[in-house]
Amino acid sequence: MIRGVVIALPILSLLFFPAPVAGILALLAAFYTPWAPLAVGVVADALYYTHGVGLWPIYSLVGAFATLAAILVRRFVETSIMH
Amino acid sequence: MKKPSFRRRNALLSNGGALAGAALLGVALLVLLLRLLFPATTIALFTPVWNVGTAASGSVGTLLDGFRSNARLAAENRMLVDQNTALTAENASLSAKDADLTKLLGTEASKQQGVAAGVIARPPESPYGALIVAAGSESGIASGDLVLAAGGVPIGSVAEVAPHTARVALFTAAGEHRDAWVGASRAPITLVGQGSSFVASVPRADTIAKGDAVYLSGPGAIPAGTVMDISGDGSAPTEDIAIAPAVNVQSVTWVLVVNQRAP
Repeated sequence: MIRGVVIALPILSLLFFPAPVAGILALLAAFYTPWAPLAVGVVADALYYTHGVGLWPIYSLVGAFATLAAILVRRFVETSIMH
Repeated sequence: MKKPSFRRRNALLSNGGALAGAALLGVALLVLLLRLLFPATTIALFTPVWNVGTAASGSVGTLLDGFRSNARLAAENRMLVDQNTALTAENASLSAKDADLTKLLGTEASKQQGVAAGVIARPPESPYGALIVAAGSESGIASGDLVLAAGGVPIGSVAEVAPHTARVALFTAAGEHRDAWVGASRAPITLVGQGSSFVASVPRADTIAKGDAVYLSGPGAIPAGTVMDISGDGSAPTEDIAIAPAVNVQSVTWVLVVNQRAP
């Protein structure tokens, strides 16, 4: 239940709160699934990206980097636990 | 005994994380496909949610106002009443002057024609420094049209148009550049958007002070904002000025879209 709320909250927060709040919630959700930052970034760009304001869909790119970092951290932590 | 590497649990393939990740990515891709294939439908789908968010923000603001101390509210009220009195007097004086000039010169000020549009989403919810408005090509809006806020203050231009909605690129969006002038010396500057305000660099020789008005370049005096702070290294030939926009784009609820190009 808590896992579901933490995972769904970042995407819902994009509609009500400023982007940094959604970013923080996405990083929290990354503890449960590392794909959360990428998904939140893609939704943010799908909703708000405007041609003429910014050259790139920056939030998707930031989400991709955050997801990569989350995967690496998670792999490192799980490997450490194994040892 | 140490497990061989191919037997270790993979960070990507743990059941709970994989399922949740797949569901999240599915939702994200669905929204992205909707935006690419049916942009108008996407906005129509999310408009009720944005309206709920706007209403909730207003309610929270009203609720928090109740916790302010009565003394502070009373002092604020007195200050606002004094300001209102002064502005009313100034307005009356300017109206009289305008009437005299109109009589003298025989010209009439033309009313601003345009399309009034409600704002569906605005910063900070919209992170790109853009507004989404509830009027589009069906109402006569075209890409590049100038967007005005209350008082006829230009705040942006139409960037994308759908049949019933449009996206407005704000002048305050990060990285946007606008030519302007400031102060009594009419010093030319270039406004650089910072998300919710502007910055500009001016030669140190220019006599610019806090509170100076900033105007966009173009016919007449098109208000852009007010100088809030002046800073810079004392040895540098230029100094940086921070400019508060004339309109707080985070609280805009209605805009007027006119068939003019941005200055």
